[in-house]
Amino acid sequence: MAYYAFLDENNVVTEVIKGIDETELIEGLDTETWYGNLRGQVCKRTSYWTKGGVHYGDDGSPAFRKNYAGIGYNFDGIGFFAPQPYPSWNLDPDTYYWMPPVPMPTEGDWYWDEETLSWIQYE
Amino acid sequence: MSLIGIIASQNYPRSFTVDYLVIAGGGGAGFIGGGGGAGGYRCSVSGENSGGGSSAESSLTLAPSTNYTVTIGGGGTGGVSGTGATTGVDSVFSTITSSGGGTGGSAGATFNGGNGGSGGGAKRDGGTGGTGTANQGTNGGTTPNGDFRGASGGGGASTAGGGGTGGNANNETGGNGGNGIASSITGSSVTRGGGGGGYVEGANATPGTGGSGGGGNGQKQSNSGSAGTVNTGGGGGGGNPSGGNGGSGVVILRYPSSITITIGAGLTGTESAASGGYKRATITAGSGNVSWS
Repeated sequence: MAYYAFLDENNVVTEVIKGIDETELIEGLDTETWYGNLRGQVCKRTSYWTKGGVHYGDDGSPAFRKNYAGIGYNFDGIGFFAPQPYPSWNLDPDTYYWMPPVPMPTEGDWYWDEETLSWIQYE
Repeated sequence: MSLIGIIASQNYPRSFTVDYLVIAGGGGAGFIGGGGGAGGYRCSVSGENSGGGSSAESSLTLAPSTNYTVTIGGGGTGGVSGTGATTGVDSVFSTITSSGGGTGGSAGATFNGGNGGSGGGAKRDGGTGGTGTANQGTNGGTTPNGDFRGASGGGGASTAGGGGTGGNANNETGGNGGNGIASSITGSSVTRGGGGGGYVEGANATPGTGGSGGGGNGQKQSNSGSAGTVNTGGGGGGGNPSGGNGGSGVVILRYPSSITITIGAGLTGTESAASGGYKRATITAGSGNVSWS
């Protein structure tokens, strides 16, 4: 089985379905093309077990398109990534995760303050 | 009516009744966070339940040689640092749409559980569970404010997610995912639609377990949450550095044994042999049309 993400005109994911395996043809078409025609949208396959550019499943498959797609994710032709949480955060080219200018402390409960570009601990 | 017309009307009824079980994809779980909510659960089998404790819905009356849409929603994405989880995706049969499961709350991102078919559980150390959709699911658990409170469980189709508890690193507990619902639409009882369990931090603490019916287990310390089980709509379990993905949905149909389903292009499914006056079709993947003759 494979998973497929449908994109809007801005390459934002609007829907993710579990679909037919990508090695099969549907009415003579590859799966992305057939599902895309069905919806009238661009359709891109996404890997359920790929996160941060690493494949975690036990089937031996390689990582594919950086991250499993979720509704609202973007696709840039290389991989899927979440919406940018803050203007100061940068997209890591390997993981396609958004990275803050300062790493979040590992102890305690924190939130990011974009005004001061720092982490604030919850009281 | 001519003799040919009489014969035709006897062999090919103008309408027939279909029972359904339509489950959406489960919600993704949070980073250091709550379990994902189960995908919306809608069922028309008499004597069984839809989600949230509601009675079975009405069966659908359909026409032969007519296309009806089926879509199997995928599970939502588990949250990671700085990025919240995503909701599960709707599943569809004809006019019946089940809503994707709600997201588990994530530390540093979306603290509260998200709304959905069933609501997601709140993150660790405080937050409110998401709200389930009426007649489809239940609410996610709520975590009290304070340090060392485990994240809450996602709502299941049958019971709500549990709240995280604790007060120190050793007695912190993650909320369990809510339980799913058993259905015998296939001829044997199977439980689906469990919520995901919540995450905890302490080495000796107890993470939440996934609800019956495919909910993913929550984890502790540096372990990613477990995914919801495929084709159950189970919510993912909370974890670190990643919450578990939600499980995909499923559509199961039961109809008179006198007719046969055609599962169209783009769909993966099987039809069982007739039993007890019914045939059943279980559709596990894709989007496309089904019809009967």
